[in-house]
Amino acid sequence: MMTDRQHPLVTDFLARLQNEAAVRLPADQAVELVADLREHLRESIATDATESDVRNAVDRVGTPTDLVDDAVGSVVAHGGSAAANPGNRRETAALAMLVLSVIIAIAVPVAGLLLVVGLILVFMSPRWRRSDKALASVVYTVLGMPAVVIVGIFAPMTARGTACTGMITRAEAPSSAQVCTSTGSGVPGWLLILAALAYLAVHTCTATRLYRRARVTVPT
Amino acid sequence: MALESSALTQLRRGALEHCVLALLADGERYGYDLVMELSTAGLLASEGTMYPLLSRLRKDALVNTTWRESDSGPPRRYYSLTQAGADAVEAFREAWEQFSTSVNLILNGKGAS
Repeated sequence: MMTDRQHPLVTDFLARLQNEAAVRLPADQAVELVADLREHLRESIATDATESDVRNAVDRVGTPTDLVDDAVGSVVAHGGSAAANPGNRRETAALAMLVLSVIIAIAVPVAGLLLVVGLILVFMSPRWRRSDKALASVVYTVLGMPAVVIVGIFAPMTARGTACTGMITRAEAPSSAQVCTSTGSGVPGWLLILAALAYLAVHTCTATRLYRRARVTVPT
Repeated sequence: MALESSALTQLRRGALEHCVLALLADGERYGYDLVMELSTAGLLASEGTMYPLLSRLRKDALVNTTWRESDSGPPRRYYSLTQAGADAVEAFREAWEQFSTSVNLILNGKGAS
């Protein structure tokens, strides 16, 4: 009824709220939450509100994720049904794809596909917050499969006396599929091991954190 | 997450719920006015968090809601206290007084002597 004068920021906020609520709340509760917030914003935004007034009003109500978190909290606290608390299978799948993309990085086409699909799932997930999504993007792109591939290309060029033990799948483009171990280069072996351990630690911590965050917190 | 489970957040959550009920003890209120009042009092982290709370209070039969026509725009949802809600406020009031007195004593270092 008031949609004709609804500000785009309000429309956008309500749409995002609707999306998150639909996934994580029972239908009747999702509808009620969106209706409540629509009414609230209609009241708090005057007809002659400026762009920044609207932005302020929308900021003051909180993020859709936080609101749905609160609503989920009250469902769970009251013996909510399993339907209100759907499994985090999609998040687990996303995480598995991302981790696998790093492990099988040398299989570039498959790993690349896993990386892209995994990241899309991460961004669609209502359970991860913006900071988690940013972390996933950085770790699995900058430090993930592309990094492994780039190291695979450049390491043989810089290290002298390198023995390539990896499989060369395409003879005309060997760089994309080599696993090389440095034997007599300037970089000491222990440094390489240390770097590898640090790299492994970063990935383990990231995956663990994302996995934990994917589970809906149950307030006591 | 660490912050959300912190004692302060839990404390605020528990207190907020009863502040809502206490405000309604004076008579029924429009949901939006209720939110603004608590927000002005500095009890809300964000205005929107009140709505899941109100929804829960209604499910617990501590508050009732009624739709009322308004002069301008669509009907408004009003909240009022049920008998169970009134009892909850009274119980909380007593518990809170006792609790805050005890905590204040300890915090001010007068608990030991």
